[in-house]
Amino acid sequence: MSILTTQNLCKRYGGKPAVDNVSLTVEKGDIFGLIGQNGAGKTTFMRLVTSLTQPDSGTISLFGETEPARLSAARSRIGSVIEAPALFENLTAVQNLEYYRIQRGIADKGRIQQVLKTVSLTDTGKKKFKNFSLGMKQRLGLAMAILSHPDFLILDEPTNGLDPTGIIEMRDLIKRLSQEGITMLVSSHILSELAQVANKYAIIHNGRLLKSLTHEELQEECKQALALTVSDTSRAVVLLETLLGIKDYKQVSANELRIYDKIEDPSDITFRLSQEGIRISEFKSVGDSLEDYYTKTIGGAK
Amino acid sequence: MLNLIRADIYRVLRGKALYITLIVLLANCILMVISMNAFQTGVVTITMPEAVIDELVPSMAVTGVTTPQLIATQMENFVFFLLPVIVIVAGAIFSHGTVKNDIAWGVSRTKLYFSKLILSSVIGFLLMLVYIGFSTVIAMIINGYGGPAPAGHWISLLQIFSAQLLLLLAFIGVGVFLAFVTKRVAAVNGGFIAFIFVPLFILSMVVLINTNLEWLMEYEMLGNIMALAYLPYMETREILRALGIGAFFLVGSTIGGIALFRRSEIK
Repeated sequence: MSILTTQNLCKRYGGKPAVDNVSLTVEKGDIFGLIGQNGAGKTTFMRLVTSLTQPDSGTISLFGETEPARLSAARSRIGSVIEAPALFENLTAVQNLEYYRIQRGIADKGRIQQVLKTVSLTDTGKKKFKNFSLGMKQRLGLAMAILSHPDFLILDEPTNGLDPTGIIEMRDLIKRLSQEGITMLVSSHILSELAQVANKYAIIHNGRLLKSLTHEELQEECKQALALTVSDTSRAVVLLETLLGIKDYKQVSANELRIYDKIEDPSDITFRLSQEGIRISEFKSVGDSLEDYYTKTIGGAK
Repeated sequence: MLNLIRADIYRVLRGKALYITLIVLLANCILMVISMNAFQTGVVTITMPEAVIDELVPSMAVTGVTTPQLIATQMENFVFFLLPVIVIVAGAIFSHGTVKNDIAWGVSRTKLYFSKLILSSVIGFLLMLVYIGFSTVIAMIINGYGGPAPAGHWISLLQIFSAQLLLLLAFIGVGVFLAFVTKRVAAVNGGFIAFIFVPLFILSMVVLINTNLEWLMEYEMLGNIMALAYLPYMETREILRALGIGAFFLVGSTIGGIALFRRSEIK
């Protein structure tokens, strides 16, 4: 089931496209990672979905609704923290959440303690929001977003500005909320960060969606391998299996093989194959790190 | 929309700003009554016809009966107390940036606008009651009730305050408009003060240059609030004009504010 579908979504600022023809689908249960540099269009895309800004063209469907009034009603099933979490500076965590509990017509008063427990903010007492650390603000923003039991959570760079411990806690929290059945759209400019939580990705650059792929496809793209260009691939394959016990390999072209198994001593391969009369014209390590892959995709220099 | 208003009431009552406004208002009431008591008829504006002054002056001892009438002549001062109310209720969602939480959650922009307008108006009305009521109590403490009140006195006061209330609501309408269109508290403050003084200043200049244009002053909001204090002595045409100006600004600012806010970007 599709939670969010956008078709050719466009938004321009001063003639410059901030979001340019973006079409993507977030399915139920996804943790969908939106990756891009600062200014790539991630936040603008999220602002369009949450109606903080209006699209110049294109359509947005939320929970299957596209008609403006129904779309607006569908947004009450979303929780979001766009850019920095915004709450009332002079109120405490409980007071801020009580404000949103009343505003959203949530009858269960115990829900506030539930969400505070979820984000580990039960002991802030009378401390006002303005005196919270950045990590606490992020967590309270998340608590506000999940207060009304959303089906879909939109988080804009939730780990931005957090210390390593805060990043780990936020990552665990995202995983936990996903396990509770909340579909998520999470943005970040760090692919390796998102790769630890997301199951689908969209790479956005200069407002354009460059690539959309699953976690498995990303793993495949970034898999480390040994590439061999040999004179006889069919014999080489048999020898790799029988002599070296290699199981995970792939023939990628007429003369090229890729070995994905972890090899203790790669020179052993060349030695054994040469011994059996197979000529090796090229032998190299291939595969990108997540950062390399991302940089290559957006067309930047390594 | 009721939930939006209820949530804002919860928030406003937990902040200090409204209480500070209330304390300043009460202090203002005390000082005003004391100064009125000291100068007795000093509050009667010099623009009133002599006959009217003659009629009013004998009853201008500051008592429980006369104070509401005197307060009505000071209602233009009360306009300044509406500014913090607008900032607390409508300006806060922009200064804290929480407006994006509301819109992203699917709250209708029209409902959001109306919820702030209604709550600002209700708080403004309650402060007006405090302004009148507390000043009257202070006057009664100083000089007693001063009754019996002349026939039709309270009905007349009710008419005056009702008419003035419409113009005060128009000021609130303009303030809420400024909050939703500029989305900046500083702009609300500056714009609101400018709305009070700039038309008065410009019209005064125009009239100074050309006295034939004196009629333009009749379309100035603050002047009309002051004039309505003498509503029983005004012609129906003048009353309708004053109320029409208030209604124009209230309706115009609301329609314009909603239209602009519906299309605007939320930062």
